[in-house]
Amino acid sequence: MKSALLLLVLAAGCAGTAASAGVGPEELIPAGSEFATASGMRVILMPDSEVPLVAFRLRFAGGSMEDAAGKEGTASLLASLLSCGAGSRDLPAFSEAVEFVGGSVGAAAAQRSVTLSADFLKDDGDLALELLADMAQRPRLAPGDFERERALAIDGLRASREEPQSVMPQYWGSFMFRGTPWSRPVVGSEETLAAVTLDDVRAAARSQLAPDRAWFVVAGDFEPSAMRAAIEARFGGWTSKSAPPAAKPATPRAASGKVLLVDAPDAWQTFFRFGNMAFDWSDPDFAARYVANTVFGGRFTSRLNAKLRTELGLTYGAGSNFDDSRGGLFFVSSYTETGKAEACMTTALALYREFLDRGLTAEELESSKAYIRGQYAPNAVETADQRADLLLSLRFDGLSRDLVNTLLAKVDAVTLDDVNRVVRERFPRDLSWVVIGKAEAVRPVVSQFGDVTETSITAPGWGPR
Amino acid sequence: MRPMATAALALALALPIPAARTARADPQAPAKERTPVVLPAEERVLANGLKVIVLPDRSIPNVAMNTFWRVGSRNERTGITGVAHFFEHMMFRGGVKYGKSFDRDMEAAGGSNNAYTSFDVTVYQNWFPKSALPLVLDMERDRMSGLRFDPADVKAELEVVYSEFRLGREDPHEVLAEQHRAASYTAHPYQWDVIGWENDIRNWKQEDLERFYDENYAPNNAVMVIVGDVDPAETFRRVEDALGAIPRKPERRPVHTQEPPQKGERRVELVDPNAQLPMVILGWHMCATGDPEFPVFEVIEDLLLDGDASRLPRALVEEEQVCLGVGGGWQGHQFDPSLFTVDLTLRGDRAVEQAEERALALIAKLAVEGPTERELERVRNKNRAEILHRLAKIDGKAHLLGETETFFGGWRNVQQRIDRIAAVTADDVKRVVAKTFTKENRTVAVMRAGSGGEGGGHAGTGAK
Repeated sequence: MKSALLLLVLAAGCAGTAASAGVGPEELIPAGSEFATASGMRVILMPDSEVPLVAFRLRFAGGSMEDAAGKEGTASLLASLLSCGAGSRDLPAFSEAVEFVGGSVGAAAAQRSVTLSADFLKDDGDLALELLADMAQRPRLAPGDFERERALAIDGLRASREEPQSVMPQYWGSFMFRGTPWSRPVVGSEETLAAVTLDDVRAAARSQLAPDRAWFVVAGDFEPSAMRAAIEARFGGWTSKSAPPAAKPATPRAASGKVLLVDAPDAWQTFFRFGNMAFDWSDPDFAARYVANTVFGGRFTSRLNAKLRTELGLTYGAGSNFDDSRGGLFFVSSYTETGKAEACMTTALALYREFLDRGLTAEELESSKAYIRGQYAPNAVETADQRADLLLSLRFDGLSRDLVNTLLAKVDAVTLDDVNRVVRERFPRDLSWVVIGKAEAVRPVVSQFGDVTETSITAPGWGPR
Repeated sequence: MRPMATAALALALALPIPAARTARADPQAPAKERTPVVLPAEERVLANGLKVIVLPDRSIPNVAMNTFWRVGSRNERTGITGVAHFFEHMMFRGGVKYGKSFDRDMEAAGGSNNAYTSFDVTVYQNWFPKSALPLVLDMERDRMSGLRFDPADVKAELEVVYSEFRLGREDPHEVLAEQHRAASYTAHPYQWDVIGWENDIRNWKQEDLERFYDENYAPNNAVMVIVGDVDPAETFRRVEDALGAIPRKPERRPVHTQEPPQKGERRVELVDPNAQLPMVILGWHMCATGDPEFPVFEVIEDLLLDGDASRLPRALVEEEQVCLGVGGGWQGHQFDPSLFTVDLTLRGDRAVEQAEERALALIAKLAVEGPTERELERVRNKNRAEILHRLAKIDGKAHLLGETETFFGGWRNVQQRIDRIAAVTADDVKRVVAKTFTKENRTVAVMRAGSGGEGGGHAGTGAK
């Protein structure tokens, strides 16, 4: 059954005839056509006429890594402002133009990039290009919009402190990468946002929104030569030049045995993460990592969830994951009512130690491979916008689409020895923790995991002062 | 995925017709050519009453199965609130053959699953490679044929559900919505949240689960939708073989309780120490999903609440900057008369009274002036685009078919849903807003920020 399954998946699209142009034999991510505009912007077109929709993704190198110290959140505010009007359209005219045709436009900052996205019906592709070209080349960045967006961002961060699970990523990134550029939160903090000026945002726009920093992917129902011509018309004359983006800083390991305890005096549950740096998806061991993590914390019947949720009823959810945008930082996470925090945390840790020592069983290996084969297509590459997002992330990291197209074959080739070597040698053993909960109850519990530093969930920022 | 344009869409988009031809639209607006959305599914009704809908789609070698059961928290009563949702959890660990290994066996075959419970329905979703169809059908046969619960499993799962309950209660908005709902209804079971009341969650008995299953989980009370890389004839045969012998059950006693008309405004005031920002929920009783007036409420939501171009976000977030965010609308698809809410999260230093007054003024303006033709056209375009986006995934199609079958009179009515929204006029909007959004029909719930008396830094200026 398992080999039959493999055959089915890998043979998948071979049955398909070339209803959409430029697509070869079955590949999870097809080649598309790639070119650079006269202005130097790299473009990939991925036509696919299954549904009459087109997805546009325009990513610029930059992001919060280039925020000035003390002004974290600048790139994030830039992203907010980019959807507040561009070219001749102010915010009301811009949002009306988008929504009138049932489209959507967004912009988001990450640590190393700012990404504009647009999703429109095929008939409205030219409007989408016009709006994206205006956002990239002629953003308004108006004072009134800036004041409002900054105030909204500050209030939004304040509201997020109501829910421990929504602020956990901020504390986790700040703590695990403290002392390095990766520790800076993309969203900034209430204090740093207040320090950002409109001039800072305009400077970020000037230095980051430039064709030589851009990757542009268009996927969906369009005619490639017409799309190419339209892109050249909108972006070919864009002459803005930028300084080279900041080099990708190293992603160091955190010190072992450190605990950040965030006091949330009114929280009924305790939320925790532990882990440390591992390796990212560009590594030759990526397939083995995928197989291993599926078994430990990457699906409903993973060891973590099966034990903590299904068997012990300690939590609604437990899992483990890798953050590939930050070097492959590995973490285990769950939550439970504070009275059961010790049981939940020590059980999760014991499961992890056992996993490191003993690895997977042969049965788990086969189950994990089957699961990945069965779930990869719908979860990662079923729709044009999924494929656009994935290809953009690959290209942006300097990786080939082969990484995805060979993934299932590589997963299938993983042996028990391979996967258990990766578990033993490449999953982190030196762990640090972030715990959010009622400190007076949890403090005695977490001290067994290392040196405890404390902060309060309502204190400004995302870590110890 | 790619190469093949699926048979479904190829057919679906074959015949252009003018947009919104049922619409009484502005005659000067050029009629855009719009291809109707037709999903060429097939249906069979088994002898035991189970309706099966199959739509082939070979874009990926996978299958999405959505089974809609017409049972939700609406079918509960005081003392066992939340049991429909708890039961949903137990469906993954009660079958005679796969009870302990349901998820493990499905995942080992490359499949995954999930489920959700609403006020009105419980939906079980399986996503799997096509080779796993026989196994998945056998697993469904197993759990549809009668359940046996291990008391240890019941106990562990109760704790899981309790953790889920508490997770929601960490969110002040959910706490406020729960109290708003409880105040809005005096009789109908929509008055409690799907998750149930805390003491009921703590006191469910195993026999509550067994009785709930016996009463509600009947094949004649379900619709199974299968979309993906399948052959319809073969799939119907497999479903018949697997599920055809499950006996039909007698029709349940219908939920006959009607909420009496509200005869005056109700107000709830809460203080939650976790709340960082003040919040207001305004709600009005509205019709059921099956009512001919329902599309007017869909349009009203789009006009008032959805997107930056809609009226309340534009005025309250963007221009006047009273709110951090605006949400709400009609409350999901419901068999019985429902609620329409306007949920306001305020900027830290704004007064709830100011936000409430402004929201009510904007709604009153819509009742008097109605929407512009351009606003209505925006709503039509947006609605159609949303449906098209749902067609991009086999799972989106499966859910759309199941939802349309369950709440809109049959799965063939997808285009009719688009047309019914397109047919709503400015006069319809004025009439329904004026009739519905009255003070007598209104329930208001307010959350003041911080710990009340202390005034803690950013309490609303209107706090007393």
